Amino acid sequence: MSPRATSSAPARARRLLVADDDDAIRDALAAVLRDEGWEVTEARDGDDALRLALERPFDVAVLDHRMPGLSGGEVHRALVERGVGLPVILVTAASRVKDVAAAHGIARYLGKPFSVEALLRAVEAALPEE
Amino acid sequence: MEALRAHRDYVARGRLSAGALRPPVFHAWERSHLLGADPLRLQADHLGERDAERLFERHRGLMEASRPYLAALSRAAGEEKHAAMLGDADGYLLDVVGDEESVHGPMRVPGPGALLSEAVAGANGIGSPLAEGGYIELVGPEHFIEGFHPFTCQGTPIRDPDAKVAATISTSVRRPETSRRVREILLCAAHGIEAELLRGRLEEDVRRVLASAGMDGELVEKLRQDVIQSQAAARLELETAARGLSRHRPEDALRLLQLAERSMDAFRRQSAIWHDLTSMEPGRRRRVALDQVVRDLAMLLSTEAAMGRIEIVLEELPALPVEADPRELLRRAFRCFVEAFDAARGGGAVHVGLGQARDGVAEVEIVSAPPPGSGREPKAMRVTAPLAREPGAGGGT
Repeated sequence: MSPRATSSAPARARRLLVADDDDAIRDALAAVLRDEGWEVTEARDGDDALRLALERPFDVAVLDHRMPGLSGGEVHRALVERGVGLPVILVTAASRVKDVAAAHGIARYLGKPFSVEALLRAVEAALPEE
Repeated sequence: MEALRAHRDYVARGRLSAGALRPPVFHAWERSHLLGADPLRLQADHLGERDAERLFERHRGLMEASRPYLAALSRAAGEEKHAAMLGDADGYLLDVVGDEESVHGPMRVPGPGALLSEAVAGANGIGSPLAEGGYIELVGPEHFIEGFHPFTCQGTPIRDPDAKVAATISTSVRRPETSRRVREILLCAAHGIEAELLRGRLEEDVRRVLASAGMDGELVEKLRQDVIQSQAAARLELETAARGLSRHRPEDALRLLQLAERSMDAFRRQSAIWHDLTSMEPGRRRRVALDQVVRDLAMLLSTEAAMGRIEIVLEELPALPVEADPRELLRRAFRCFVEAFDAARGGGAVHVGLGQARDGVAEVEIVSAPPPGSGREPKAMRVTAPLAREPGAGGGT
């Protein structure tokens, strides 16, 4: 059930995976998204993010790019290779944000620092149409 | 009421009543009086359209840097009638964000292009922080000119990377009391804008270093990203705090503001280290805490270490003041760290110790322990500097 759905079926919490090795950023992202009604699962690095994404169903993943172990882009690649169609938003402080995202086949990205509004817009836009 | 009486008294007799006003307000009135502000004025002076356009163009960078922070201040006000304002170093208003009535209604606050220096508009939330060089709050008739008496304003200066006052931000509400929550988020927003200006300098530093080819470009880009992390965290924390305030969760908001301040402290520290590291200008030889240089570099390189699976082991680091050009010392130690990282990458360690090499000389020893089976040889590097003389020791020139 996505937030766009208008049917009378009981709504389940929307599930989101946040992966960032920076505790402060991960905590802030998780706090704001929980506040918006998301059920948030946190990962501290890329390997953890991939494991979680293969274990549980998520509606969207917000992945930092520069993380120990697998990068956010590599996590996306690995998911695609395994046939997991999870919408990914890549977040990175890289100078060439667009190039980094494109190199990993990711269409949605946010350059750090970004605003809460930009994050929420990106997350809503990443949800698949019902 | 005392402030209103003081205002009436001043208008009638041209005399300032020290006892009736809080000290910072009295000082602001004194300045307003000496500068010739008119207490009966109802509104601020405005620039003409073309001059205003030129002003905004000149401050485009500052305005862009400030926009998210004005928006956060406005969001934090929730349903209350309010305006968040940005002024330049001369007291000209550059941007105003708030509810429709406060910004565009018949009883609106001054708009962009208005001059709010104390000389023209008396004590107010934009001009007074500039003159005072610090935070100030003015409640109703504590404003020097009558036209501002319906408002309560809290304002604070914004400093550029060289610590010069570059701007002010303030919030205005139509109620006769200040708010601690507004003060906390206002100060945090000011620090956030200062961090944006600092990031501008960081990006310049990066461009300069890349142009000079003095450092490995890939490493420079990675470190740039690592420094920006703290600023990105601070901005998210501040914006989340603003949302908390608007949803009447002040405890959550204040906790997040404290976290934002901590993240900004980390960003300031890392930016300063980075600036020293990349500066082309020689520094001045002076007393430097060698142990702090080591801690700074370990902090700057902590993410790169995690990425490369390198453990940084700081051995005992006694306080060792040395006499050196801090920038040159930092660069020498940095080069050793980088070399040690290359040897230890992929599961090794870098041990850093500090001691006295021989009489009058201190040394940092940086030893790489490559990962087992890598075939790389351990490396030991040293950075030395003369110990600083104890303050007051004779024999100097």
